[in-house]
Amino acid sequence: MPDRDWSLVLFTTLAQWSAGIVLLLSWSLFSNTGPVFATVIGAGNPVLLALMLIAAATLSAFLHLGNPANAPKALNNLAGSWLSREILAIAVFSLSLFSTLVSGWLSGAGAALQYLLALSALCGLALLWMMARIYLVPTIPAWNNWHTPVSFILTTLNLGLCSLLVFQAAGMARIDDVLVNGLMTALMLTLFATTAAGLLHQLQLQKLNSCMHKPVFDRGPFFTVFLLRMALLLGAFLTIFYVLIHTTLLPESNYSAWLYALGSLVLAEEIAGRFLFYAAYFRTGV
Amino acid sequence: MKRLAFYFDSGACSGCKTCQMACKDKHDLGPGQLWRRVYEVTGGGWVKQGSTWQQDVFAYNLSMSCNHCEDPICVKNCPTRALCKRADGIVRIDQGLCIGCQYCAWVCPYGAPQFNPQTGVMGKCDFCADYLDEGKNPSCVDACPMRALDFGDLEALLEKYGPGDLIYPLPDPAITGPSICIRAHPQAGRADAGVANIEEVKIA
Repeated sequence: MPDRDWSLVLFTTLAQWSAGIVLLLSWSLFSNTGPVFATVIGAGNPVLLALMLIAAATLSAFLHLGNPANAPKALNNLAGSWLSREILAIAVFSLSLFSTLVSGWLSGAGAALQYLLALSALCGLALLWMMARIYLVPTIPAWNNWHTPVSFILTTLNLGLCSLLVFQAAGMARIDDVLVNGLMTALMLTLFATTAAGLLHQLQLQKLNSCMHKPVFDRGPFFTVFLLRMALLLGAFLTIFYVLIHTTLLPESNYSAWLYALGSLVLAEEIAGRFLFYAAYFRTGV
Repeated sequence: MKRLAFYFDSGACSGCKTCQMACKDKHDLGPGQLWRRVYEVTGGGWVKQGSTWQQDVFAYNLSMSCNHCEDPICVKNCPTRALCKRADGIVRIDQGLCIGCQYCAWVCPYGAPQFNPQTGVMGKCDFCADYLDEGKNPSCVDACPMRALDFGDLEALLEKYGPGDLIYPLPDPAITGPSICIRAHPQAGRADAGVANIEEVKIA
């Protein structure tokens, strides 16, 4: 993978992380046992964190450009290019998040915040779809398949679910015990889906070939990172099992530490997964 | 609408790479920039015939630049509209609009758009449009000592040279509709072919 593609690993992971936080916050606000979180502008505000993540994602995307001075021209081809549409979706998502942040700051947690957050979540979903469409091109067999949208959705859910659990551990949100257990179970399911999708895609990659390029997926650095990712996923599973089994026995400080460890494992696994995504690139033809 | 195209005779090409050098010279391209490249395709080995072993090795060349496709995937996907198709079918890049995202290089199955790290923007074969405007031929066509390269309107080329062939390692032409007419080397259909100079034609 070229060094410049690291900025895309960061860009897509951070943007999907941000969309995941918004999506899960919005969904949980509409449930009966929704979380209570700070709406004042400060370090403990999850909406501000989501906004900072999308800002960091946008900055890292700039690092990929050879000529960032022309960046505003990336909106020139909205009619034909998914890349242009993605840039627009980032702007709209950021704007709606900013409105949510300001609304929460001015009026507190009310219906306005709830609906603005839902609007942001919809914008996040649109961004996710446009991001996935960029990679669905017929000349890149490793990307032009079911795995691209599925892996993007799973990254969003994994990081969103983990974030809510970490917010609870960090005191950024008060989440009902029933909802915490629900989040843990949901995370276990999405991690299982991530493992299954990763294994299936790996098998699919090993069967791919092209006219000239003969990429190697079943040994070497690519396969080493794949194994590392699977080990991280296993670590995340074991952590969830441990926390679920010992919830009532763990002192509060230990409980938080386990949730931080879970969050770190999932983030590392997602970065490894995104690295594999870009490293799998090869095009058909010459 | 006119559709300018290249013609390449794989059987006539000696692999001297004068076309490649003429292109680099004309466009002042640095190391790693190969708007026209020559792929050396080889294959074959030893085969047993009765009680003896015979060799059936083969080699042919493929000179490839931008094919100024009918449905150029680079133009369709360029976020800034820096890539556009002229009325005569030439796909050109306006470097003043390019952001250097390299998406066109990702998606083009012919490796035509290439990133220039010095300028931070993409560059590609423009059919030597300035030469064409002056009534001259593209530099690669004029430089070829074997007369393996020609150019003109695609329909006229097909009439002159017959229907083109699809040879290894080119992709399915249905993807982008390349404007190229290729006369295949007699051994071009062999299944055991491979590109021998991948490192040489690797684009920066």
